[in-house]
This record gives sequence, structure tokens and C-alpha cells, in this order.
Amino acid sequence: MDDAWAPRVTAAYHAGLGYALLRPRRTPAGLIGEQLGSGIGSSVEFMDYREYTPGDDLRRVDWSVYARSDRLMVKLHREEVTPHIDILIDASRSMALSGSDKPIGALGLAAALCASADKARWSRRLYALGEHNMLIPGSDGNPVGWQWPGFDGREPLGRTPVAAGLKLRRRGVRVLISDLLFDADPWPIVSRLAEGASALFVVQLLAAQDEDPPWTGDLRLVDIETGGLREVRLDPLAKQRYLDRLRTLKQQWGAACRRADARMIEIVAEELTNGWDLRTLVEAELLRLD
Amino acid sequence: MPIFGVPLALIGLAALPALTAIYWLRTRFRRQEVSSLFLWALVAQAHGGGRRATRLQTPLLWLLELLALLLLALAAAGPYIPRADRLIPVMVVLDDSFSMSAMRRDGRRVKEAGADAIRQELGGIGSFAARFVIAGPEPSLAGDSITRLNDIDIAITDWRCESASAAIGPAVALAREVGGPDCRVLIVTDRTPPEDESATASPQPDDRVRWRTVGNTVPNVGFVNAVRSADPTRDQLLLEVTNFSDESKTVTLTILAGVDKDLFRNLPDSHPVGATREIDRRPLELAAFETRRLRIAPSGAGRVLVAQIDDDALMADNQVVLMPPDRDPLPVSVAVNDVTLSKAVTSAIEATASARVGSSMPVLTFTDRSLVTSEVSEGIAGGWRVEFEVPPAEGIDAYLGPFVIDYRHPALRRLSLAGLVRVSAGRR
Repeated sequence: MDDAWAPRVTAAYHAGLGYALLRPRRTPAGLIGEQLGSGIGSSVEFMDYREYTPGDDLRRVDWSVYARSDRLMVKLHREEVTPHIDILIDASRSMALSGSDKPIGALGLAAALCASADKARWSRRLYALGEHNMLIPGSDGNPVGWQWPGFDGREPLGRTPVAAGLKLRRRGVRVLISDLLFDADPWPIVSRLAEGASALFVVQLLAAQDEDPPWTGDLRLVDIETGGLREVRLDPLAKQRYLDRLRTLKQQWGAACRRADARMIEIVAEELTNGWDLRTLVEAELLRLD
Repeated sequence: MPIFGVPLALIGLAALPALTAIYWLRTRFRRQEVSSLFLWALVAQAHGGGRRATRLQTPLLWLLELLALLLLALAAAGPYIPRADRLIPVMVVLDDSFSMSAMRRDGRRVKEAGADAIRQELGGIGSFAARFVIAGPEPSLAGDSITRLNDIDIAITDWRCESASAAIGPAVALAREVGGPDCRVLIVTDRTPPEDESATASPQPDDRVRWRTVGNTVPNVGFVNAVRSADPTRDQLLLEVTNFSDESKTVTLTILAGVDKDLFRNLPDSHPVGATREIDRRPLELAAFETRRLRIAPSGAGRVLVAQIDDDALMADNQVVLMPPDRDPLPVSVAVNDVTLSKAVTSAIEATASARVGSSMPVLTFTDRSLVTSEVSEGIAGGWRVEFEVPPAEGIDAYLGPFVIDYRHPALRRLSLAGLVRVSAGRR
């Protein structure tokens, strides 16, 4: 990780230790672990009985019930699982907008979630999304050891196959961290990520200048991703049109998330990095205070 | 071609690049990186600057403002196309006397102030067709008619201010004759207008005659007369120096012996005091308007003498060049058949004391007939000839001039035909 970012991302990690991931309404699943799952497993926690069907393990037949009722009943126990969270960070260049805290906010948020996962004894994986989706080497450890490839994707997230090639854990919790500032239909992205997940959280991380452009006058706007240029005279009317367009974008993503039973969380990077207050994530039922 | 009545107003055109600079500076775009441009797609793209490819897309308002400024500047300059039948005829009479070349108190020459006065007067008229009359001892027309202020300098090229006097009245009369009864007459001089309007020789004095006095009174001391005696045996100078100012002045009179007279005659354009030595110097204290007469016997016999006084506002009268008297009479012959005429011619030649009649090798022959070759070979006649035409008693025409004199011949160098009446019989 960039040495300049490491101290602040580490601070975010420490802030995340004060929280724990909140188990979603749909019970997450994972590898056999130490937490009770919602499915049938092999833990000592009794869950229910059911009729024996051929193929059931005879060791699970409750012979005492058979002696009393002359019926073959199988004793079901709850499964023991290790919940899992997949954190996907948009690695396009727009996330490293100069003059903003978006890159630190994205990595810090991921670090905080990792800390919360560690605190709740969840397994976790961290991915970078872009032209080449990849698992971040060293992301299973402390953020200092993350080998972040950098925010250098030239294509917006919507123009790349989202999470293609990644083995996202089924029934895991997935968190997408992106500014979502690209012109694409959000539904394919949301549906792709929500598929097989126990819960999906879409975190829109915007810079303050994305949320409320502070400039006025004649500007030559440069798209940090594509290098495209557009010259505008930023007056109150033009600014209002921009804000209207941003609001429409958020509404589109919100609608897509509701349709996929996902949660959309809006965060301003500069507000997040100023003290790493994660109450927004608590309100969104992604984290809980621990 | 349009003419601008107030060309100075064209300075307003400087506002055009200024306006362009203001727009250019105001519309210079600041570079700003953004996360994405698609949110700005609905924001109207600005025009008026930026990359080279779009710099030509100038805002309409800027073009309209440029056009408005251009029209305002042109309107203020007062463009017009003069029509020949609308031009106001103006005759400008220029005082050609030496005093017009004097220096004024403000350091400018009177002539320069006169040229400015002409521009001012003609500029105030607007559409004009001006001709110039130079008022020397004899008035004369100068150059062609002009209709533009810029042509004034060319038109007054012949205005040299080297005349001993300026006949303003005859010049105005000539101006009226040339310009017609409706023309305006502008008189540019250093004199004050005469109280008697008839002095301008205007047959009907009216407001069409405008008198511009461009000079002012400055002290001047100058030679008003200088004579070197014709007696070769007794070289003597008569100098008259006048103080024209109303206060007493003290000047230094210096007399220099210059180059040899023959050298100066052969090279008249050379400076007469090229190789000089001072032979006399004396202070002159002159009362106001006093004329001092001096008789000086110089020691520079045979050489060109230069008398000069201190520089003042008018330099032209501060120096006189005096040639030594001629000592070799010119050999001439008189071959006139008419006895009366022959006597008259011979008497006139002898009266000059500069010619010797009856020379064997005359350089100038006065005759009233066609000479034959034998006469020339016998020395009766030779060189240049002055022929008299004796007209018959009837059908006489008189011719007043002009006469062309070839001054290359030494005998004609001092000849003046002013006042000569050439009489001939009928048209020839």
C-alpha cells in the first residue's frame, strides 16, 4: 500500500475494531466454522426432527424415538459455519480523484470492514474491480500488508464485466465500494453481485466535490478516467443541473438495490475520513457496535 | 475613397484589441479534474475559448460588441466621400518672406506654425479643394489642388521663405483670380492684419478672406544693406545693421576673409568662408530700431569677404557675402547697323564699367543683323550674341516676358531683364 495512505488506513482499521459485522437477516453461510448457521449441519445444537429417508446417515436416527413411536426419525442439528464477507473496491481512476479523500476513504472503509469481520470472526476477502478483477494479495492480513494495485483503471466500472473471474463466496455478505459515477444501467451490476449472496451492500463513496462542486466560472473539466474534456461555464443553473443529474443517478441505484434486496449506503469520503465515524454503516445494518 | 474628418478619433479602434483581451482573459478556462463527465452532459458547453480547436467559437455577444465599437470609432472619425461639386474652393496665400523662417518664442519656426494653421483651417472646413499661392515679391502658384490634409506638406514644398519681401496684396488678387469669386482665401503670414482691408487687394472684402497671423515679435538684428566698393584700387565695405526690436541690443560684427574670388565663382555652391581668417571684429551697441551705417576698409582684397553678426531668431539676415570688385572688363563688340541704336548700346555698355567695347576677341556681340562667317572670323563678332530686332513702324507687338537667361555665360551672370519690353512685328 502507498506509504502515504498506510497511517490513515491503519487508523480506519483500528476504528473498525470497535464494530462487528452484523449478521444479515438471511443467515450467511460459509465453510464449517464456529458459528451457528441457519442450515442443517453437524453441530451439537439440536434443531429439529424429520422422517427418515433413504440415504440418511443411520447414525443420526434417534433410536429412542423409534422405540417409543415405532417411527424412524432423524435428528437434525444446526450447522456450524464461518460467515464470510467479500469486499469489492472499484479500482478505477475516478476513485483516486486528486484533491479528494476517495482513495483513502475506499481503502479505509475496506480496512474498517475487515477489522469488524475479524472482530466477529468472519472470514473475509478483498477484491479490486476494474479491467482486471483480482484478489488483493495480502488482504487476509493487516492493511499495512495489502498489496493494493492502485486506482488506475481507465474504464469505468460499468464498462467492465463486474466481478468476472472472481470466486465470490456463496451466501456471503458482499460489499461494493464505488463512486458509481458512470453512465450504465445499475441493475446488471447489482443483480450480478446480489446473486448467491446473503446480503449485498452498495456503498457509494463520493468526494465532497462530487457531491457539491465548489467551483464557479469557466472550467475545462477533465475526465480523470478517460481524459475527455468538456468546457462549461459553471453558474448556479449549471450547478443545479449537475445536482439534478446526480440525484437521478442515486435514485436509479437505489431502485436497483431495492429490487435486488440490497442496501445502498451513501458516504462522503471527506466526512468518513474525518474520524472514521462508521455510524452510517450501523444504521444500514452492516455493522453493529461491539 | 472615404476621408475621415476627425482621424484622431480612429484611436478608438484601440478598444477592439482591448475588448478581445478582456474576453480572452475572462473566458480562459481553468482546468479541473472530475470523476466523470457524464454528469455534466446536460450542462451547456461554454463557448469562447479553450482549446485551439474551439477557440474560434467566439460568443456572439463579443462579435456584436466588436462591431459596435468599430462603428462607433468610425462614426466618431467622421468618414465621408467628398464630391467634386461639393468641395469648397480655398486659396491659401503663403507669406514667403524671410521672416517666416524665423524662430518663435516657443522654439518652433513661424513656417511650421503656419503649416499647422493651414491644417487647422482646412480641417475645419471639411470638404475642400485648396490651392496655394506663394507671396514673394511676385505672387506665384504652388503645386496642384489638394483635397486631403495629408497632402498639405507636399503642396507647400515650394514654400521656402526665402523672399526679400512678400506682396500679400497681389497674392490675394491672384488667389481670387484663380479661385474664382466664391473661393475662400486664407492668408498665412507673420504680419498683423492691416486695418485697411483694401491692403489685401480684395475688390470686395468679406468674410471669405481669413487672415492667420502665426508669428510673434522677437528681437532681431540684421543686415539691411551691404555694399563692397567697385573700385578695385580701394576696397571698401558699406554695411548697414538695424536693430528691429524695441529694446537696445549689443551684437558682435565679425568680418572674415574667405576663399579666392575665382574659386568661389567656379564653385558657387562652396562655402565662401571655407578657408578663412578673421580680419575685423567689433561690438555694435544698437538702440531700439536703430540703423547703424559702417564704412570699413578691409584687408582682404581679392578675396570673398563675409560679414556676420550674432545668431538670433532670424538667421537669414545675419550674414552677407561680399565679392571683390571685378578688375577685368569683359571684351564685347557692337555690330549694330542702326546708328542710333548702336550709340545707345555702346553707351550702356560703357556705363557698366565692366566691359570693353571693340575687343579683338569679343565674348559677347550686340548686333541687329545676321552675322556672316567672315565677320566672326575677323573678330568683329564672336561668342554669345545679343540680337536686336528692329520692327517696322506698323504692326508692333509687345512682349513683357518671361525671358530665359542662360547664366552659365559670365557676361549674363548679372543681367536682369526685369521691365524689358520685347517689341516685334506681328506674330512670328
